[in-house]
Amino acid sequence: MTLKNFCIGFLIVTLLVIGYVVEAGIAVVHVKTPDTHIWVPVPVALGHLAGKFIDLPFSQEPEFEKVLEYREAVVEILRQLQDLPDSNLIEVSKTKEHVRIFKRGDSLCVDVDNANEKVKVRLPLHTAERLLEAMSHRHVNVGDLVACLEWQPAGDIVHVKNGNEEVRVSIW
Amino acid sequence: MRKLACIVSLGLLLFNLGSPAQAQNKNPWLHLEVQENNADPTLVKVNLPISMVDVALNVVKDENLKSGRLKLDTHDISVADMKQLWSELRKAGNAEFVTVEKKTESVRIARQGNFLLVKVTESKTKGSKVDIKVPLEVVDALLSGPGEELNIKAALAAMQQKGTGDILVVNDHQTQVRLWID
Repeated sequence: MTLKNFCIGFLIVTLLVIGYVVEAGIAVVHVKTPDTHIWVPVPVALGHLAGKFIDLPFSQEPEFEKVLEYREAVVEILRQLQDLPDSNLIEVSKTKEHVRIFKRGDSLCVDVDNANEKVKVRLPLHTAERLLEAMSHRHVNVGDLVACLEWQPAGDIVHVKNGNEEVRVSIW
Repeated sequence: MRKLACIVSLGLLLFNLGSPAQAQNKNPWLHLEVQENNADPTLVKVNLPISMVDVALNVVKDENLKSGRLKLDTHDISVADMKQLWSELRKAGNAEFVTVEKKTESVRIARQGNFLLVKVTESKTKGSKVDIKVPLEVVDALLSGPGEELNIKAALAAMQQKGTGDILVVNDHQTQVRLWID
């Protein structure tokens, strides 16, 4: 009877943990080159826990502290961006290059398209706020950064295509 | 009673129709479009709410631009002279301040209603044209900085208060610039 209860309890806890891990999202890193094809799914919740033990080396650099001086301004800009309608904010078009920074839905997007590469970045504003919050601490670790990706809407976050090479980071 | 209900409903409807426009006017957008027609034609478009430009101005820490104030790096005319000149022009009311008519160039600086107008037109062969239309309050704010500084931040705040429209239009065969607010 006790063993049965234990097994049921264990099963429930396991299902809850799996549910949490799946719901928190899975970050998928996809690297494609002519020679290699790497596909790494990382449950964000687990990456968050594991990453807690890996400090980012640059967080101690003076340049990083200098960047943090702009934190309040960036927070304010992110706050204002949330209230804006979908719009193209900055666009530069040249014969062989096109750069566009725009807001779509709840995300800030950057598209760079030139003869050599295509870059698409979609940064949910909520994630940007959490990233900023995470990077404000003295010791930034990988876990804090990965945690920012939890509970994000599914889709590509970064997609870089350079000739035959392609890197894609998505949230599932 | 029914008539009163109709009037109240109509009032509410009009209020709701009006409110988005009112909200939009509270935070107008600054638009900049620059087109360069050189060997590598470039088109730059910037569309930002003025409040966001204001935040960005606060954080710029350049030698000549700090806390939203621009230190003018020119020896042609000092900001003190500009302030003095402007205070005289401001009193003049609607008037043509400067009119220069040359074979190759014409310049007109005037006050028209609530705006300061600057029009520079070069001869047809060069085809350059500069149109500046700035609300007087914006010029006041621009010249409100201490010492030899132009108060860009205050000018932006004044623009936010004033209406919409073109502020700067430059057209020459190489470059087209348009700065406007809506």
